[in-house]
Amino acid sequence: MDEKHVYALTPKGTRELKSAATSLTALELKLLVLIDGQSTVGRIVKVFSPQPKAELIDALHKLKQNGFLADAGGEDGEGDGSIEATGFFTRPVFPESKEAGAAAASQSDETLQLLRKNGYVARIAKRAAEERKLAKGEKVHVLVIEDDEHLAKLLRMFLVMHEFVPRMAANRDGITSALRLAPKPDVALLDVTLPDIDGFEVLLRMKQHPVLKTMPVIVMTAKATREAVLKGLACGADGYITKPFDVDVISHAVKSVLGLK
Amino acid sequence: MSWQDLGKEFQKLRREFRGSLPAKLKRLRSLWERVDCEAPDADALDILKRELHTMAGSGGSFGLPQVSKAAAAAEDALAGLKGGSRPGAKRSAKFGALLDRLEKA
Repeated sequence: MDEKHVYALTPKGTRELKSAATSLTALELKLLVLIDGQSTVGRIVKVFSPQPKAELIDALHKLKQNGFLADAGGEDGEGDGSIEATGFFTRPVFPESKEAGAAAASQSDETLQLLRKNGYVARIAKRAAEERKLAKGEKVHVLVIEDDEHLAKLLRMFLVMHEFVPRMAANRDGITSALRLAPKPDVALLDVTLPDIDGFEVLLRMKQHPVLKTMPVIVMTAKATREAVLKGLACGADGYITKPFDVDVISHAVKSVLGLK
Repeated sequence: MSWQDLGKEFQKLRREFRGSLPAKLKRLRSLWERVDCEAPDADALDILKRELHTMAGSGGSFGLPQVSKAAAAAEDALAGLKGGSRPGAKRSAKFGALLDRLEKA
């Protein structure tokens, strides 16, 4: 494959990234996020260094074969450097100005600047490989790691309404205490901006822990930059939801990563 | 709890959130005073950034997108400012204006 080759997302690829659930692997997702109709294969491969190049090229081929990508400039592609081609940043939190929109459409670097500046919403959660059915009376335990007391209250209330069992933590000690309680939570909602520890570090530790590593973790953050989303996925997040959010999105994501209907 | 109760609870939380904003804003101003001074406090800058970030994330979830927007703009205005460095006059004026905007939101 020519390193100067450029791919664009197809409508199918765009839909996959905008959907709240996906069956793609973490690597495929990360690649899809980077496909913007302007970046060359060589540039994308560099981002993944030291990941084996052959593995990346195979994944790109597979994405193309499955209709998620097309050659940039082709009739099937959507990539013109516009915001819509930038993956699962599905809509701006705040309406962008006309001038900003025009600038973003003209150059990919400016698009990235705009994403950084305005913030974009990412709502993505992996779909569990197998469907799970709850036994009669069985409840799903959700660990909520959120330091904003008002948002924590809102999440607790909403989870209770949906018959989940919330367990709250707001800082490092709270997380440790909550994880010591039985049963092990089925899923964690993790705010990455915490007062005394970096949430990404919490995520990494969970994903390296022999018992906790199988627990799906959905990251909740106001960090909506492409880099932040990639960091979350690279750290092993099973879902990534940017704030502010509608609480319904949380329920959908929790059910998706657990395979619940 | 019924869905109607949930709606009422949400409104209650929203009122609580809105009611907490003046105190939060006062704290933001106090933190900013510790940053925009002769001996800038690096810890205060970290806390200020985090609290603005939190406010940007929570406002919209309580149906107050203008709070999110103003807090995000204020957070953005601190980008590149290093802990222990005094902000320049331009940044200081801009940030002050954004805090005023947040107060009106």
